[in-house]
Amino acid sequence: MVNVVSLAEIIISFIAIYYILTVALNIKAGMTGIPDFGHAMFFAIGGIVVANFAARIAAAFVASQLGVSPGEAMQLVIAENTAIMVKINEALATKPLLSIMLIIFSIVVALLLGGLLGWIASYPALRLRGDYLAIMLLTASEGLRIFVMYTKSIMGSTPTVGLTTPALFAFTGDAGLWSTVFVASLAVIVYLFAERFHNSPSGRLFRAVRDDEDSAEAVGKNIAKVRRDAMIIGSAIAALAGVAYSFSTWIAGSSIAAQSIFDRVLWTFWPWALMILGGMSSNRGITLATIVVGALIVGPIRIYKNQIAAALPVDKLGFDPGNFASALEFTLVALLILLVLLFRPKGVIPEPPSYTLKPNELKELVKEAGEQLELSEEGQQS
Amino acid sequence: MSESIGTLRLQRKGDGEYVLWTENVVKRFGGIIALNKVNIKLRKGKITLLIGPNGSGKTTLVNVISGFLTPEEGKVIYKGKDITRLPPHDRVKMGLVRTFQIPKPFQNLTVLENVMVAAEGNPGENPYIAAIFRGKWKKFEREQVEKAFNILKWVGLVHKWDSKASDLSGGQLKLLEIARAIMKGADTIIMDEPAAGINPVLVHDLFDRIVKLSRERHVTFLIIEHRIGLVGKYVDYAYAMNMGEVISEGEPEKVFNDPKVLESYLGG
Repeated sequence: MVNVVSLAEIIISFIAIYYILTVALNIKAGMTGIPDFGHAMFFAIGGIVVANFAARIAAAFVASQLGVSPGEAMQLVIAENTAIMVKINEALATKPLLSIMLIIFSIVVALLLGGLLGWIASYPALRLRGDYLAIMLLTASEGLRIFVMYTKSIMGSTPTVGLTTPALFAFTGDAGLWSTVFVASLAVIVYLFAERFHNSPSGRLFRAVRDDEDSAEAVGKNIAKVRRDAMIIGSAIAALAGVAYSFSTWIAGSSIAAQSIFDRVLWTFWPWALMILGGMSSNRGITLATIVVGALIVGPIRIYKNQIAAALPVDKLGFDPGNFASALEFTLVALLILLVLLFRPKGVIPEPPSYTLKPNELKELVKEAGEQLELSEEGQQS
Repeated sequence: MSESIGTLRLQRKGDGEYVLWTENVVKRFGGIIALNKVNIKLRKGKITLLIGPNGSGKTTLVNVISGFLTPEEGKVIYKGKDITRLPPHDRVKMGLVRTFQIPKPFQNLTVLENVMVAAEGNPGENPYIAAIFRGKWKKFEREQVEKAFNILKWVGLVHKWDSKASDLSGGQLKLLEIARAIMKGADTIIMDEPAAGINPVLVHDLFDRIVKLSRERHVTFLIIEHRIGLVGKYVDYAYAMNMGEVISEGEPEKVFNDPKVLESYLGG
């Protein structure tokens, strides 16, 4: 029997993490038209910040309990990760202040580093177009994955195992619940940010550059700066999603590996799928798509996939029911994408205009403009 | 927009003065002389038409005036300043804007948004503050929206303010380009074949708007057009070019009936 509370927490965490990550992609791809197929590398920054940087700082703070100097502790925590992290996590459970400081540290540093990597990645984004840029970003992400995986000072000495994450929510007593609450709060903040960003002159400018670069240039806009800013802001938010993932006891578990945080299917193509389903540059559409797809996948599909596969005559079609079951979520989302593209090609909720002023305010102003002209036409006749 | 109330019929000071002229402009492409000592003058607040058969140098002249080409000899003077070697975006800043034969709108943006993007110096276009500090741009934005609505009213697109640009007709897109140019602060607009690809009924509508803009907002127009019969009655002055030279100028009727012009069109 499924534990309903845990299931709810898992679903909420899953949706929150994917929502943040998809908003990040939307700022780059949906609003500005940068085909970022290397989105996973920005997400991975968040994982590295938590599992490596935050762990090192935690180690330095509890070095006395480990019987080594802070400098040594900061190295040992990566070199002999599993053994040391057990002790650090025991200590963190009794240190709420340190835990909270590390949570804030992780978020701030991930935003900064994500933005920095986005800024670096914006250099090709200014010079390459379309497919070439997509391939370049995809290979950059894969290259960075391999580099990170085999760099002991980043991911520890066993590439496939990765690093045990510091248990930053252990002090609450119920890490599952409180990491869910925290990650969900981050998602709400990101939702508010995304709404306000879309409905600002900047959102409008990003969308204008996406629609026609020449025209944007003709009205005096700096295209290079817009694309760079989109890469910086989108990548910073992607790194925030990576932090949220690493915080989540339900989704990341107690450790992360380069393989998992750089996974291009999970962290590049799933956000793309969710963005296409929801609607490019449509924050509400993305929210809806993430909630529905996330709840379906983590809920009924993952729980009942074997039964679903067994019920369908897939073996008669030559599929192995076991393999079919494990790929069921991809199959269903692919089907969903096809249906949405056929019947609602602009997504479930198409892109809204950037309402820098409220629609009612605009209607009032347009009425005023009309009255003013009638007035001036009278003046003309007299 | 207070200037528009009750003062529509008043001629603004300086109307009718020359705002832009070329002095003996020469442009060669290899051995071909595309422009041979061309002199044209645009009067402020008037509509000037440039006609001529294909290959007569009309578009080359527009490119020279708007800064996309630099002439070998001669000068382009705008608002009393020699702009011969000024890059296009600096000319835009001075109020000299050109539209293209094929309109390039922001397809997924509304008509209002298309015009608003052209607003200069919007503090809300700094993406690092836009979402968090709305107070920094709200007032500016509101003023610009008022301005944009008035411009849309002038060009006759205000009823379409909430439509996406992709839903507009060809003629409406040209009006949108004009609206964007005015929002940008243009007072001199050079239009390369504005009537191309538009249904003749709409051409008259478009030119009615252009006339209105020149009369009421004192915008100076230079318009290139093939179909002289269609647009002749709207313009104040006309130049005819052939083989890189101005062969006739004056009142539109006079130019259209000039034997040299007729001959050039017939290819004689």
